[in-house]
Amino acid sequence: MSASQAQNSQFKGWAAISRELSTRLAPPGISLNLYQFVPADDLDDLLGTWYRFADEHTFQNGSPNSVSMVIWRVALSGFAKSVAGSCQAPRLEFSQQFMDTLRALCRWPAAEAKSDDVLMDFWFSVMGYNAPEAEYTAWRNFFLTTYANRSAAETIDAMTLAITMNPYFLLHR
Amino acid sequence: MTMNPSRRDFMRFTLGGAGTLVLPGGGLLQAATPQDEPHFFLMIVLNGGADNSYMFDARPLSMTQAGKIQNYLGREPSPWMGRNGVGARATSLIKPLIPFWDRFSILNGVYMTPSFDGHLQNMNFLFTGNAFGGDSFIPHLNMPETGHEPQSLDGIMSSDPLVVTINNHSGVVPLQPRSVAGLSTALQRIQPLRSGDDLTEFIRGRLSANSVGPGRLSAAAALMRSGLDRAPQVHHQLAQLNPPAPNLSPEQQTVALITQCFRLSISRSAIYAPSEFFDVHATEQARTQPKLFTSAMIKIATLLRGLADTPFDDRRSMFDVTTVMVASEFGRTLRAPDAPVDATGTNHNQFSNSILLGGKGIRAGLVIGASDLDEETDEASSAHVQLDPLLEKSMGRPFDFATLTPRTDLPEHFDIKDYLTIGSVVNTIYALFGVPKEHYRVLRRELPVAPVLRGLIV
Repeated sequence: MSASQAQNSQFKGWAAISRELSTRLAPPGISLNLYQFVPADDLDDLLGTWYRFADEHTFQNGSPNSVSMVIWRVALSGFAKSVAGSCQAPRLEFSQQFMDTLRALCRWPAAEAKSDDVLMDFWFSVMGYNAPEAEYTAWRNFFLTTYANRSAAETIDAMTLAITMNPYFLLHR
Repeated sequence: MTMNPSRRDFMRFTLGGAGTLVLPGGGLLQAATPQDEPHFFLMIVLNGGADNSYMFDARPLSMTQAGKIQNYLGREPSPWMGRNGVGARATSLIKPLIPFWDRFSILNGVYMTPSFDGHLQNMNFLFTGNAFGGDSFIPHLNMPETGHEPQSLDGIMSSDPLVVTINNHSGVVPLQPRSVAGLSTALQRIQPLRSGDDLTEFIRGRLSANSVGPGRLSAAAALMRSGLDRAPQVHHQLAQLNPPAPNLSPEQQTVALITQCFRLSISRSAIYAPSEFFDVHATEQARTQPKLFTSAMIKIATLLRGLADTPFDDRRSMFDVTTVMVASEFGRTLRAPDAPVDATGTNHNQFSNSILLGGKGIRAGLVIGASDLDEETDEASSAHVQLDPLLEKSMGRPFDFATLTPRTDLPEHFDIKDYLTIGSVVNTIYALFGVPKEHYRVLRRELPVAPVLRGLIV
């Protein structure tokens, strides 16, 4: 490992994030088509990659910078909109289990969508078990207050983006 | 015959630049204050350890005939006389650079690491001053303490990445011409993050909360936060990029890209590494050097021509506002041990490197420094013999920092203070950009800072 990587965690990279989301949200053996959200060919390389000809032994471009933050935000916004737009018909090949979780949340701002069970199910579905409880608590409290009366589509879009832009989601620990 | 550009070359160069007010000698550059002046940096890296004897530190064929040094070009080099009266020898391979002779100076006999001859250690040393890696000098050129408004990015890397261990390159972003079209189009379609909106502030808050304290994740969260803060501006700037025309060569595309990045205040610096790889340990590899250098010199000349022909504004060309450095991580040995010079590869030589410096702020047309063992009868100093008993390597000659000329004495013992080092080269660039002195490189841990080459600065 290089000293630069010892100084700060690296992004997992788009390939790893895609794999994690597919594992959590898609039926077994299915990969979600998430590459569609990367703004252009090759830009996923700027989010952290092992794929460099003749240099497969070092992880490249994993250190966060303003360009990678722009690209992550654009790509993950596209994903978040697809999740939020899936209340009626799924826009990605989601598992039944995740669709059940999502549909419970789609009743937002109704009270039953704001239960800890519903919120926690959605949080763990997307985040996995990477983040400490304090992250979930901060996320839940923010949406229960700031988004209390907003629409389901706007709220789920924002919830998904907030989870996926979290450092525990994007970074290797 | 002294190798200097022909009058036709010179006239073509100056007339070609006349529309953009190219003024050799830099009178224009002296007039402005650092605060007013745009100033950028382009670093061209010859990857793998390029043999300077194929460029501006060549050896006579008589040395090859005497079995001292390989020469797969097989042509007598020409004298190259600097305006300062210091000479060198140049091969015909540098011909593409002749039109730019009054745009750059040649530094020969530059000493790299004191103790290591590995690629990574010397590439680290080139960028950071530490064989094991550390803070690169490139981001320092973009510090607010320089008196310049920092650009959004410290630099762009517009070719494939180099293998180097650097702590502070999170603001040096790989951005290749082929990526620009899709990136700018996508960013034009979507609004930048809005600072102050609820969701943005929540995301920023989580990044801030997680960037407190030690640890790698905290450090990365801080970088994410800093990146997020600059994201709206960078989004806006990147959305304005026009993709370079696909029919241009990679170097022309690179010039088109870095020109936009400099003009749009996206980036202070750019790094470009031509695809040629100069590590030629095996005989068959070494034999390809004339071809490697021919190709690389054309690429460098294309970059320089692009800078000279591209206006920065209505008064200046890109070359007028850009300091350019061409460097490799080290030079190469004269030959491999126990191999005849007509069937040998070459190994790494950290004792003598060659660097070209030109463009904004650089007094051009000089030859600074020299390496030893440049005639078949040349005697190595005892200092050299102690470091290189088999005399496989040329080594920088002792250097007079007051006159920027090589000394003729033969020191008994090696003392790094006697030699022109990469530390002096980087400190000279620091002085040009106004980098605070606390960042200057020292000669060695317990020694003072490497002297700035004041006579090289306009």
